[in-house]
Amino acid sequence: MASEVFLKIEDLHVEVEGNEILKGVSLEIKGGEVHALMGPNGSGKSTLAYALAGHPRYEVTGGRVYLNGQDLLEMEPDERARAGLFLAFQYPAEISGVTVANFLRTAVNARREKGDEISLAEFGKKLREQMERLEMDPSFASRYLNEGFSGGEKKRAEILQMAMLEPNIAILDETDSGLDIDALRIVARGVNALKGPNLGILCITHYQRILRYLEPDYVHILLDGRIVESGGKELAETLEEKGYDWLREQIGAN
Amino acid sequence: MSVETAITLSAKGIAALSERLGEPEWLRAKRLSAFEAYERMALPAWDRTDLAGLNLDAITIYQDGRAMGDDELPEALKAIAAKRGDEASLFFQVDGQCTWSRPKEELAAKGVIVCDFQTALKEHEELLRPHYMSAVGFDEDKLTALHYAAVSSGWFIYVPKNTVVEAPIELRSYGQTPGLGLFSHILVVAEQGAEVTVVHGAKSDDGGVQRVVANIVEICPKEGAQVRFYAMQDWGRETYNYTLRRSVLARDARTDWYWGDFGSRLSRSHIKSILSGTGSESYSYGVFFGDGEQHLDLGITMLHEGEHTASDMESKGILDDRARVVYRGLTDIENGARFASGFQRENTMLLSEEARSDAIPGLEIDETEVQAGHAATTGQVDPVQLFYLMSRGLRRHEALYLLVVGFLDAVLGRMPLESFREELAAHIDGKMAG
Repeated sequence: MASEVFLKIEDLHVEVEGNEILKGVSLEIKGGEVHALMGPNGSGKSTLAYALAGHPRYEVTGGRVYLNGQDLLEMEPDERARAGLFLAFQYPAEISGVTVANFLRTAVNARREKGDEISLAEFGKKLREQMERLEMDPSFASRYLNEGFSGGEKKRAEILQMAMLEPNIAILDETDSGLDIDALRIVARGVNALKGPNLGILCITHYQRILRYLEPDYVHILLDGRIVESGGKELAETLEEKGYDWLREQIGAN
Repeated sequence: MSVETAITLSAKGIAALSERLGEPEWLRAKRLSAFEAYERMALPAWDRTDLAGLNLDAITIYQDGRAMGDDELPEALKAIAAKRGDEASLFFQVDGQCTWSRPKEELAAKGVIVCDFQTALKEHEELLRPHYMSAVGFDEDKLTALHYAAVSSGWFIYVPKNTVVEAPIELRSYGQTPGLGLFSHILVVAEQGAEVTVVHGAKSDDGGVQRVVANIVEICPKEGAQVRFYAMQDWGRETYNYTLRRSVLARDARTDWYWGDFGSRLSRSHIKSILSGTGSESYSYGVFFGDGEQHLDLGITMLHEGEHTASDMESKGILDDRARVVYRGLTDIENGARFASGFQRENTMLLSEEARSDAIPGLEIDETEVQAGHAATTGQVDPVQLFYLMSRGLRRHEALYLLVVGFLDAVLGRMPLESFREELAAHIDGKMAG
């Protein structure tokens, strides 16, 4: 079982500028599984994403995280990525002067040994294939990374990166927000095409919309820094129907 | 190179130098006046650039040389000669007087002159004389005086009327003997309607000894002529480099300055275009990268005198370690320069907390019907961008490299000559790896 893909989060506490945002989150994601993490604004969803990716502003004050058995919290952000973690950003940074293709080739090669860099032909082929799947125009590859991209283009570019980098655990941080239904469908189809035993997905979202396409195996509700409820995909439907207030009442009642 | 052939900076030395070069009386007189001015003047007291470390006492200003064989070239020049093939006419000078050249046939066929000053004085004195010292005077400051007193190397380039030189004329100055001062003058005369691209690369091995460089470039494009001048500065880390590049433009003439400043201990590299002719244009696009303890004082002035004159300058640079840049950009539109347009942008990216950038953009406008503007920024690497790239698995240095290359990309894209862009990229790679 040592080679099995998994992310294991144990009692994670995270502070931002001295305020505790995550107050003990535990979660386990295995290869082949899709987990949805839902919750209202300010519940700590994005904090979890950034803390896992290693953003310096998010200070882990307690708990442990293992990626494929390795201690994730001991690693720098780039080491986490090379170990198999991927975060699709809600707001990706714009990098002027660096083309999508140049950036992706650097990122692909960062995962390979020196002297074993991907050939231009192989890289070009793979990039074209993945771009076609995401219905991206070929000229996209020579545009500067995220610069002047529309909201939908940015999200597609994030999924393109995920496809090229082949992570074991992908966190999609509100990848659905700001997308119209067509763009959402393309993005979701792109994600679905990558599903497999070597990929576990954590889809962070406000809405049930994207989950119709991604069909999560598990749904977790994050409220005030804690996972208060976990269930199957029907939980997302119930939540959509009844709202977070219903959930708060349920918890209060318990 | 034996010690007997060397000449040091002194009244006796300057007279001996003039004797050795066998120059005509008018030039000897200019040289002696320049030395007199040099002795009379104090070192320039520049704002933010301190010459306290500069030692001019009894520096060597000249040593004899001779033509070099291919095998005798320093490795860096051998590499350039091999890489260029027949894409450029090549002219190298090592320690000023050791020469090597591989001109393309088109030069002779078109009557284009490229030669050192001694040859030019013997064979083309009537062409050289009216232009020499026409853009930069001998007593502008102590270091221009030093240049004109000690000058013994450099090139004279003459492009006849309506002649278009296809291949770049590539000049390389290389300092090999530690401590030898280098005083080169490059004079480009482009007659009416002529077009030429000139590249000048400067490099030295300093061997831990201070070197003094005082170079002057004068570009004289006549009516409708176009000169593209590419300058690559990679002096050794003990070099105090003073370089003035200046162009006085006739009607409808154009001078483009492309440059990269990477080397030296301390540099003062200043460019100035004097747009006197109606409809003349000048552009400056450059990149600098300072690290270690380097101090770069970069200046670009576009002086608009004529109507319908246009200028633009864009400079982008990187500073690491404790390096410092003082950047002085000036768009100066004189009264009477109606319908002139002049723009400038300057951006510096700091890779270290201790690096420092002083950008002093200036806009002086004494005319109403003009278009002008400037913008300057200095900032540390954006942590949001850095985190984004690292979250994709790029190591810190790989992420920084992409950000630096991306930052410089816009200005590199404005330089038409591919071999120059490649050389710039190699310098950037070298600095990022170091």
